[in-house]
Amino acid sequence: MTLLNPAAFYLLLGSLLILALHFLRARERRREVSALSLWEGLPGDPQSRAARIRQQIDPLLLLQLAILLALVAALAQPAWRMRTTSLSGLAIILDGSASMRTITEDGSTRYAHAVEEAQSLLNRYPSTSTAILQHSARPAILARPGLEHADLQDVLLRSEPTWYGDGTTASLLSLLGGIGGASQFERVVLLSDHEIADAPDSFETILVDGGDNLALTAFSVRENPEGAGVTALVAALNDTDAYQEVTIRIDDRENQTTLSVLMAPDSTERFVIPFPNSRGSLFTASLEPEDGFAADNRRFFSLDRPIDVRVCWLGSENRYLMAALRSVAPVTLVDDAAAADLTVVHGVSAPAFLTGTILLVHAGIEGLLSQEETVPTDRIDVLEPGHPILSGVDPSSFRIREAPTASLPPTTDVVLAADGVPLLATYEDGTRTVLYLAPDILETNLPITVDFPLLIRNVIAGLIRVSARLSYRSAEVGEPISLAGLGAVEQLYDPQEKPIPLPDGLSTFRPDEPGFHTLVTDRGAFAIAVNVPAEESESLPAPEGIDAVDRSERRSVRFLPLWPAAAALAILLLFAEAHLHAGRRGLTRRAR
Amino acid sequence: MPTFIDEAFLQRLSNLRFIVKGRRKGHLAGLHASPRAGVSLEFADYRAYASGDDFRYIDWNVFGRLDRLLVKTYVHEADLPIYLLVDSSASMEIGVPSKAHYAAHLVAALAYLGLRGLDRVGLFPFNDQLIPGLPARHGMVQMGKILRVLRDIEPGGRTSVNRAILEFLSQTRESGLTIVVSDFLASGAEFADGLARLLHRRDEVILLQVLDPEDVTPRAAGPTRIVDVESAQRATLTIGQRTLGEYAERIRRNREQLRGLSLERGIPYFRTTTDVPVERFLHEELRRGGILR
Repeated sequence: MTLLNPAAFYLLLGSLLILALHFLRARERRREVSALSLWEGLPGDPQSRAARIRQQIDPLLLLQLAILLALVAALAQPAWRMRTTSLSGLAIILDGSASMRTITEDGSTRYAHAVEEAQSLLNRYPSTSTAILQHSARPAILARPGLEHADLQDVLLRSEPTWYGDGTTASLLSLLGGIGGASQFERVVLLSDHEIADAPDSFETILVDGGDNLALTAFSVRENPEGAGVTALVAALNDTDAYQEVTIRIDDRENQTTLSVLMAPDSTERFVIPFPNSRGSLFTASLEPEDGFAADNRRFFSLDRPIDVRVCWLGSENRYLMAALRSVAPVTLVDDAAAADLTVVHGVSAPAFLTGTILLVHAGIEGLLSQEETVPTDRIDVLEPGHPILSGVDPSSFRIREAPTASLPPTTDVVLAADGVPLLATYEDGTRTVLYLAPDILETNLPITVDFPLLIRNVIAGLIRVSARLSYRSAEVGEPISLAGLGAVEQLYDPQEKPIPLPDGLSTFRPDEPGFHTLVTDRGAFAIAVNVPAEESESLPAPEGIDAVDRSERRSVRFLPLWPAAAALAILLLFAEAHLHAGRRGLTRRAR
Repeated sequence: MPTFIDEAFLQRLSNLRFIVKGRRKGHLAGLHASPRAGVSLEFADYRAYASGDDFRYIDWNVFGRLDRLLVKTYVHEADLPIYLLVDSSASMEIGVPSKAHYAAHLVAALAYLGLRGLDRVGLFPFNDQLIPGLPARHGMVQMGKILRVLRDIEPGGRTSVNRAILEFLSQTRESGLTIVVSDFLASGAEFADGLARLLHRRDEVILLQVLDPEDVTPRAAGPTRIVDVESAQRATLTIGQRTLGEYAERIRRNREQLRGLSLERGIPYFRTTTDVPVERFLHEELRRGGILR
């Protein structure tokens, strides 16, 4: 038998009140008689000590204490533990996120503890149809229902935690839906190092370990504007109950800089660390001393390596346009349009065979887009205000004196127009991506506006997508990273410099582990800094009063509630007490 | 009718009636023999004819044989005043049901029997003095009044049977059947004088002692503070077997004293406890004792 609410026994303190009331009452019983003369002068009986004690132990008092005890017993919810060995279905969900790799005090890992718990569950229900899932940002089914007990054990032992962050409950439910849905399973047990806030009520969470952690939760590096070295920005977490003296080390593979600080308990602090003698582009920040979850004691950052945009220029020169291009990225002029990232056509009509990414400025393409009569323009209309090309651009500052009318393909997307004359438009078909800027720049105020370089930056970003490189600076495990825009991909290497097989035509890549990955294209090698998801460092401690093993035990048994019997006993005793009390009142003075 | 006494209970008493020893004087014709000769079916005696006598009562057979005019006289059946004196002191409140409750039942039954026998019944509650009651009257209207008075009696005060009897005698002139219902736990000597005066008036007196079972055989209770419900006087006593033995002796002496008094004065005395049904007491004790038939 066990008590589901043992705290109820604090109510037994109420017995002190009953005892106090009992002993505060007169010791002698009071008896009203018809005639005192019949009693006066009678010799009283001598009382032995035992008799006196018996006398003081009033049956009424004993009954009252018994009633209190029965009530408290009922409130304590006594129950018979009935161990169950079979369920209609069992789903074991192992938290496979990176924090489960944390090394515990016994030298094992949280994940290993979770596996032990899972094995215990399997052994408890050997004949139950069981599914095993791994929950993370990329949830997976490790074993579908129907596998033999030995196979399930084998699956558990072979499983490993990932470096991914926490998954969403929706993705987990979706995965469960693939094997019949959560309702198929009588028990759904989640083994994790933290509670999932939005988990369905039917889910049981068994917490494994959890607790103290020191971590770097953010790391960034920027080049100093004056060109002398870099500055590192670091966020450190002290998720312990004590002050911690830590050292933050920044390493660019050639030089190092360190910062020692005392961190307050349960605090996150941000540090700006100058690194003036750095000349590198790959930076590793590490936090010492290293703790059980070493992966979040290191974070990686990759500074952009300049990449040239290869431009093929057709038509007349335009210094303003070229300057705007160069303000966005280094530009290398090439003669062959096929080898160019971008073909700029200025003031002429490009040949019809021209393909690829094309910027038409006061120009056309034979057979596709032709400029016609030039007409004065006045007010500029923004036809697509949310278009990415206009990001950060204020078209109302543009002044365009005149612009040619044009014959555009039907699928052209006009972004800006003036009096029906298209000024800025995009067009895309299977072979060409075209951006059309209708007016002669010299007939506009564009060269002297701050919006023009922004417009050109948007054009470059929209056409050749160089912004994809930004994600290389500090990606997270599991985050999709675009491989496009950096030339033809030749190879991708993991942090151990082992090649990662890439299917043909793959344009995105999801790293599986933290560290510097290397992408090699025909344009060069690019480092991709991949870090453990920051949320993995902030594992929630187990709620107070819940012991993982206890919880597991509680869920593995069924309880036959006994409180109704205790309550019934209390009521019976209450009636007996009332009867005795009434009888005693009658003995002393019985009401008419 | 008050709820504390039901009609079925009274119905079950319908076969009972009072037996009164000796002939009583009464105002009206009743069911009891009167020392006054009168008109009835029961022959009493002969006497010489006097002027004015009813010719119908001259015994012509005697005149034929003896040549004397004799007139037959018959027993005059007179009504009987029944006085019910009921103790309403605080001591009657003891017990469940209380002695007062039991006494009220008993008195109601006796009143009913009296009224059914065409007697006049009066009710005189008392404690240490008479409490306003009801003078003796005929008829079932009187029964209703008696029940109301019984219902409204609130036991209280001390007991003085003697003083109550003296006040009763001063309020009633006619002798009758006087039934005193009390727990009589005071000494018999206390009310011996009152009884003597009742008898002197030629009342027939019956003493009915009503006790609670706890009055007779109290239970052991250890250290006890004993409180007299009438005087509020207290005494502390450890009640054990020895004390109870002594108490039983005192109760026995109380009974013997009452019995001796009753034998000495020729007064019927009956004792009952509240655990004996009133009906049984009437049918068995009073019938066997020659009070009812």
